[in-house]
Amino acid sequence: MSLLEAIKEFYFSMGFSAMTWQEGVMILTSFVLIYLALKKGFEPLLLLPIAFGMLLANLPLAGLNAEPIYQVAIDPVTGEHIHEMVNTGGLLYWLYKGVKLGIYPPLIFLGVGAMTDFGPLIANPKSILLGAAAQFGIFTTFLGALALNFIPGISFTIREAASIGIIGGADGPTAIFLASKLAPHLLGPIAVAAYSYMALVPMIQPPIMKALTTKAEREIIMEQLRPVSKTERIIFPIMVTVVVSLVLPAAASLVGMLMLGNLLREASTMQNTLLRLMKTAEGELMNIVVIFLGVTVGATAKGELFLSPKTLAIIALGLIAFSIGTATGVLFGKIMCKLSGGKVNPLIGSAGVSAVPMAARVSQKVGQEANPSNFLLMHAMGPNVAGVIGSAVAAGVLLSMCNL
Amino acid sequence: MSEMQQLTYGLIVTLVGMGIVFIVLIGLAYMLDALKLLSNRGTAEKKTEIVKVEKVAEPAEAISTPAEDEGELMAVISAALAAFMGSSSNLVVRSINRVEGNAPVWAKVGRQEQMFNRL
Repeated sequence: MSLLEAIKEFYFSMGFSAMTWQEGVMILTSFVLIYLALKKGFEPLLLLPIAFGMLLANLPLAGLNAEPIYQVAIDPVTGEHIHEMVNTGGLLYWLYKGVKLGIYPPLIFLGVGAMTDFGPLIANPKSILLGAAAQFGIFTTFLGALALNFIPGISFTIREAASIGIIGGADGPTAIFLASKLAPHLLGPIAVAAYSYMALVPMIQPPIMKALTTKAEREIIMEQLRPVSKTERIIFPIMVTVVVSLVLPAAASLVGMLMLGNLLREASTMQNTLLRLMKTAEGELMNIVVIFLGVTVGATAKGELFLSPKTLAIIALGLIAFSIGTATGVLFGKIMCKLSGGKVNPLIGSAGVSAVPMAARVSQKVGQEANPSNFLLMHAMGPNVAGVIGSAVAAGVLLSMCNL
Repeated sequence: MSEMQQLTYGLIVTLVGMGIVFIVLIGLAYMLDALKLLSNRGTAEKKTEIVKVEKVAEPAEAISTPAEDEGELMAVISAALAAFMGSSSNLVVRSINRVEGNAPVWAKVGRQEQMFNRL
């Protein structure tokens, strides 16, 4: 072999020679996302792994997403036909199994449960309704996506529309869970849209909240929440698990793990040994899963799939979903304000979209702008954590009704 | 399925879906109300106690912010320091200045909630 041939051969084994324009664009997109995560602080915890996964998946010839290759062989001893693994497949292919089989999102929920204080919700059960009202965003967007089918050139199936709608739940793990079951090919754009909009909650929500409420309503100061007893805190997760799983078995894995995490948290004050489990659930386990989930979800964004008009439609619909969820939450808050004789500040309604605790912070901030002595944070945490349960329930409904 | 059929099915899913979300969450709200009654049964005295504490806490705050008895405050703070550092240390308090808190508002709220939950 001459030197020239050797160089030529090496050239063709390099990524440069095999790169398509889509892969080039995706690599640049991943740079932008890394910039947004690091410099602008857009949910860096997830967006950075997602962006890096996107980068890895679009490197030509690296084969990180490659499926294993099997060969039919005859077992020399038994003479039976067996599958022999010829190529083990790529790293990300195997890590992605956790997404595909629906393992990572419930594990994240375990950690979320261990970190969440459901006290404000237990203290003020009525606030749970606001968490339900904000789920209108999910279903309106679902209908919106189906209505787009009337425009020639765009076609969403019911399963795809359901996965896009769930962006309105503002709950990353739930969105990934549902999309991986109903429309895995759209997982990349859906996850990117969901996490980007969650990061943008402080910009998306306030204008809507201000447009729908009067200054007098925003100034309403709510009463201090009652203290919640230990018994209530322990019974709550058990009760929610039983009720939700009996009504909606499809939501059992998400809600069940969320509540197991919460039970660990509350029970660790009674049995000190449980503290270890709680620490692991909200710490190391969660961190490990976040890395796996982020990288593999990002890796689903292959150029030829991601760069399509559908992605643009998903990003537009996601924004609509967020806005409608915020609006219906606030409107429902207004109804509750009227019914309670002005005791409920409608601003806590927008916290029903479950971006915890971002949405509650936004309620606090907008409330304090109107009245500096207003403390809505804890009141807004009620609808906020109810929103997590609400969007898991909505995901369960979509999963069982749209799995056609 | 045609577009129209899809949309009609979508409407059905929406109605059923929102119905179930509301039914489940309203159900939970009622159960939480029931839970409150159950877990607070027989602790009626405790309730009045809590009310008392809150009533006491507010005037105390109101008194401490405006012109307070400087000497008394000095004595209390010095005593607390002495107790904390042990009686053997020769501690001289020269001046006591209020430091402006720079914690974000909702860190304050969180702290307040924590205190109330433990009362």
